[in-house]
Amino acid sequence: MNHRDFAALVADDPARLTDLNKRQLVAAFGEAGSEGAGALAALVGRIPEWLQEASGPERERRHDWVKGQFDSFLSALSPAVLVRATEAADSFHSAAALHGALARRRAAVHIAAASEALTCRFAAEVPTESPVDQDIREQWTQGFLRAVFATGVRAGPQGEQATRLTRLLASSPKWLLEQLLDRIGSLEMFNNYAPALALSLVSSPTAREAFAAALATRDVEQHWRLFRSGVAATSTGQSDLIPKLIAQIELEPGSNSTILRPEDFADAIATESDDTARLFGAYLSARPTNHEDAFDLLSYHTELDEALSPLPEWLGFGFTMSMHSSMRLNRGAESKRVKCTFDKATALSRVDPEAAAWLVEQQRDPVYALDYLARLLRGPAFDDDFLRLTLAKPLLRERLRAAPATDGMATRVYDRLERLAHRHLRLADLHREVAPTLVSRFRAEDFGIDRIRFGTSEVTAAFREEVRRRLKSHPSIGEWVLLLEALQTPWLFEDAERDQTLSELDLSPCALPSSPTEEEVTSWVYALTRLHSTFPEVVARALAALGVSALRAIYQSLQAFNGSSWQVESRLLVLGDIVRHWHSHEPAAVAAAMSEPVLLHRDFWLLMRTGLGFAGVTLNPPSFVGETAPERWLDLDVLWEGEEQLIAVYLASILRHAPAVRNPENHDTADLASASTFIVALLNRHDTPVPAFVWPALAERVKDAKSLGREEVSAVLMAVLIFPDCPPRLELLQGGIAITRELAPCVDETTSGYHYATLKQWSCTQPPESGLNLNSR
Amino acid sequence: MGEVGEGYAYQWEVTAAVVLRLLRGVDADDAMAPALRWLGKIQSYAFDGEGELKDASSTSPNMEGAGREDLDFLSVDGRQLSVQIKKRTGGSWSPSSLSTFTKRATKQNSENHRFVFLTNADPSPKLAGQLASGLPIEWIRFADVSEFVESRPVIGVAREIWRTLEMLGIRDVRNAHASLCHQVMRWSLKGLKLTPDDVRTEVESLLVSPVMGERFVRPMEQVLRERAGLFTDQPFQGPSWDDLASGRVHVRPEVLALIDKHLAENALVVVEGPQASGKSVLAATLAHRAETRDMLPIIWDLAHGEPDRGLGEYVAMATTYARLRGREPLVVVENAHLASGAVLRAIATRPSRTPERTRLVVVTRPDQSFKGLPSVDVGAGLAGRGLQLASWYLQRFHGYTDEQAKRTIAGSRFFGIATDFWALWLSLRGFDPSRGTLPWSTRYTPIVRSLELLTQNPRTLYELLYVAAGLGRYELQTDLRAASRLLSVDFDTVRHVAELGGTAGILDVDMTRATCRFWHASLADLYWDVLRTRRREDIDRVRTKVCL
Repeated sequence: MNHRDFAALVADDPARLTDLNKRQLVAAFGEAGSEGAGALAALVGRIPEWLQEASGPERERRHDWVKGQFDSFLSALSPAVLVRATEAADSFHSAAALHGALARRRAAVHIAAASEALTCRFAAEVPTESPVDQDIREQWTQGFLRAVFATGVRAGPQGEQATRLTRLLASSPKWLLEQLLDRIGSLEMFNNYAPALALSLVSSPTAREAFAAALATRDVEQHWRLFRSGVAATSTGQSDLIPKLIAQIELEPGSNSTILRPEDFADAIATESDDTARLFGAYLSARPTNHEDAFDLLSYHTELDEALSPLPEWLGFGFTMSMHSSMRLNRGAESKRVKCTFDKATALSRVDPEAAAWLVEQQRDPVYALDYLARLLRGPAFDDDFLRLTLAKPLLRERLRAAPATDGMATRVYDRLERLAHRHLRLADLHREVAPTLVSRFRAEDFGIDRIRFGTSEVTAAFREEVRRRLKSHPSIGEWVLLLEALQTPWLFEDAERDQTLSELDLSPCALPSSPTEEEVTSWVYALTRLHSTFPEVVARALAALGVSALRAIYQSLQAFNGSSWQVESRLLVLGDIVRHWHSHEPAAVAAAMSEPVLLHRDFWLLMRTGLGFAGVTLNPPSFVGETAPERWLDLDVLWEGEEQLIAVYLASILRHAPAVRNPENHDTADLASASTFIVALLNRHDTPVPAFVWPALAERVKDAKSLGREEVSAVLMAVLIFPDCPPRLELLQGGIAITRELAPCVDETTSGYHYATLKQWSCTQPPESGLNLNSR
Repeated sequence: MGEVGEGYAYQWEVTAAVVLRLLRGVDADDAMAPALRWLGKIQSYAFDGEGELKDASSTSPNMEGAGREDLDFLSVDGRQLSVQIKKRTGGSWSPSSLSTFTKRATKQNSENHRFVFLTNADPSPKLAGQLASGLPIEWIRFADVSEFVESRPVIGVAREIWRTLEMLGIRDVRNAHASLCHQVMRWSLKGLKLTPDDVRTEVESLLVSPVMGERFVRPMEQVLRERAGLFTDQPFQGPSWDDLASGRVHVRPEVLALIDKHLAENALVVVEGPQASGKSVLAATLAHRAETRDMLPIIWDLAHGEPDRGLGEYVAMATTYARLRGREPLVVVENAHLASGAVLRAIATRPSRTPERTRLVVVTRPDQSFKGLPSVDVGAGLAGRGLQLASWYLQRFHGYTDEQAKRTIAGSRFFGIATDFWALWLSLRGFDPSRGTLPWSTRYTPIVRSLELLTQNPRTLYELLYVAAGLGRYELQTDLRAASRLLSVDFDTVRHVAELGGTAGILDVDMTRATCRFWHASLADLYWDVLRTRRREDIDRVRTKVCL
């Protein structure tokens, strides 16, 4: 396709574009010359409608193409390409249309970098006087509005927006600036760059003059919004710009008609943030009853800047992820979610310390009371005297001590006290005094390592006592596990103490009745899985205490060993332990149960989900010495017993189901080559030769891979190579290499030709007459 | 038997209880209900005080001629239900003690004329046998004779009447009870025949203010009529009754249809949306429509806290209040997010069957607590709705065509204001149709004017407005006691000026007169600007004070 095709294709039928990939589009656009800018602008403008026109699978296909190819093409348009297109465009208006169209698309990330080129074309071509011809005047007005939008719309910090816009506005003749201000309401996505536009309107002398005239003589809301933004943006630093603007407004005839005097309004805006902060400080000092609302407002934080409307997506909608937090939101309570636009720290620092102490005392919720304290302490006025005053309030201490277990309140108070303890000695004392009293109301899941590790000696003692007490008070199995995990926390117990506690451990929480329910079994497996690596001796004792019927019930539970990926290896180890114990009582029943199709299916896939030692990213290849969970499972005696050994079923199934090539969907599963490594190691450890069924199984995989392409076949052949050399292997490889020769390369060799490249590398070492060398026929 | 004349008290009390029950449209759990259902829509009530005497002298020559019992109901279909009311002090009713009535009933009974005997005792076995074998009388064992302990009824008919009156929020229940019975006695002694509307009007006139009234139940019409209206200098409280009546309020028909559907199916709808999204305008529209559909809309705004007796009880009171006036209630609960627990409790305690439930409209900001309830989200597509509202306004008030309106809106864009209906409204009111621009000053004009109208105690009021606006911009209410401390002005004065602000339609003072607020954050914003530019000297003292 050449450049003429690009413009023609866009003009004729954009649907045909879906035959092209991004590289072809980039190349065609790069060569498209003066027509390229206009053609691409038209195409971008047409796409949303084109997506809407189709329905069903066709619409999906188009959408996939836009996301996969066209957006990538837009992202790949470099600043240099865009500058060239801007300069080569057949007119400024085509260039402005291109910039406008691309500025609307998030994918066109480099368009802002070419704005200078657009400004240069504008400066060179714009008529200095208003054209007499109305159509020409209108065309320039529209082009300028488009250029202001494209230059201003957010791509980078606000300062850069303003710099770009200032250059553009400074190049504009007065008549066009007047047109801009007249049509201000039709600027696209005005909110996005209004502050930057305001800054550029007051920065350039010509623009300022036009702006002043508009403010004085017109009564347009958007102008005054820009005025407000301009005052706010220049309140620090460029302080002479607004006085200059105001002076110009006052020179204009009719300036007295503005409802709020510009000078007063500017002053009100400039002092607004400070005045509000002071008002809030004074209001809180006046001890209001709705202090909690005020503190929630002062604690509200959001990452979303509402003024910046996001660029739209192709289908007209887009996701905006936003994070909110506040004192109440952090507790899961409702909050008004109103954003503070003044300085919160100033507001809080102006609260009278005595009133602040009163506010803390008045807050009945102890967690909020400590939140108040934490926020107030950031201000310089809140020093030792303030803390002395606040902490002298007996009501506060009582509330802290009485924090109930409900809703994790005691834990929340504990955590806040701990954070505050480092801020001041008085708070450290408060922590020392109150924290130990809270431990008895912790939920078992709150005995976390960090809470215990960083506690004072009093707190550690309280934790120690509480863990011991609860272990003896017949906890539920869930709590029991959490308490055991707490027991293991470093520094909580001396080794001897821990050993003694363990030796006296009451195992009744993990006892199972002879006919347990599915839920009881699930809880049991969950608990034992968690304890398996840390307390193997406890697990062993728990297992030894189980009766045969309980062992049978656990093995047969589908719910407990379901398909989730949670702790797969530990669950497989627990399952293996269950089988071993049960096997020692009822070997025949175990063999029968493990051959039962549903249970066999479950066991096999639990095994496969371990990745056979290859799951995830590992720096070194795993070593197979019989210690990993999948090895221990396949080492089970019961699998190797009897004439029709179950191990054969497992190995054949692994060869059948291990994927030839890994992809994002199966990245936790061992691929066929890894599985073959695992199998060969297993066979070696058991001193067993490669069973005969392996070769037809691998031959079947070669056959299946043929329809998937050269890369898949190569991957299977690399797996075949892992097995020891023997005639069936040679035959299999020769057949496979022959197939590989016939198959075409995959679409993108650079990202997915690894297995073929490796196979080819190996085949080069083979003699040409072996039938294994890919370079010879 | 008791004293001579004692039976009248029972007769009039029972008559009063039956009248209240009918006016409220409540089915009690006794045999009266099927008889009234048979009767159908009532055309007139005939009261007769002679019945007791007639029966006492069983040979009265008037008996045949009168053809009337203590209470007779005539239906619009020509049916008649004759009710004889009698008290018995001890034992049961024998056939002989009722011979006159049974003779009348036997003689006059027909397909369209039934006889009912309301009493506090059972029939004797012999009379019961006669009733079972076809004596044409429906026997209704009604409430007992009233007994009072410390002037409060503990048992009997009076207890039923008191319960209803208490539910209506009557302050002086004893007096209301006596008045009602006295009125029934008057009607009976005069032998009046009244229409249901006559009876309703008379009962209402007995029970309304000052004994009963708005302190307890707030009819929405009254609230809306008190508003200045959107097209005045004080549009902040929302649309007035006149605005609604003259079609100057726009609500999307599909939203109303969805609300109607929810109300028909569940007698409940949650109107949810962010601030200034038109929830309250929608609620006002529903209220206006309800009135035209012969329902009685009643409001409770939780911004004033919960009702004294709880929201559930308020809904029950509102129901009684409306039904006593012969209308179905529609209860609007405003600002439900401020007490979502109370609202959920009120919803949970409603009767299980939809037809018996009072229709509830719950107006709230987005609140997870109401998830799963039938709802209408007015916050969805707010900008689009803002533009729709603008289009409607241009067509309705400037005579634009749909096309012209679309072009104008596309030209002006309405940036940043389409999602804030207050700012949009104030801007639209100053829209310049010749230039197609949104003005700036018109949003301030009503603010400036409303401040100019304040004449009494202006400085403290301005200072309070400054504080309330500064806080109100962030949706915070102003605690008047704290404001008094902040301003160093005594509390009574601050409360007084807050009420002046309330009277001027600028502030909303809560019912306990402890807090005040601006109606909306964007209004607080506008007042904040105007006070700080045009009233600087009036707020200078407080500005300086908070800087210290």
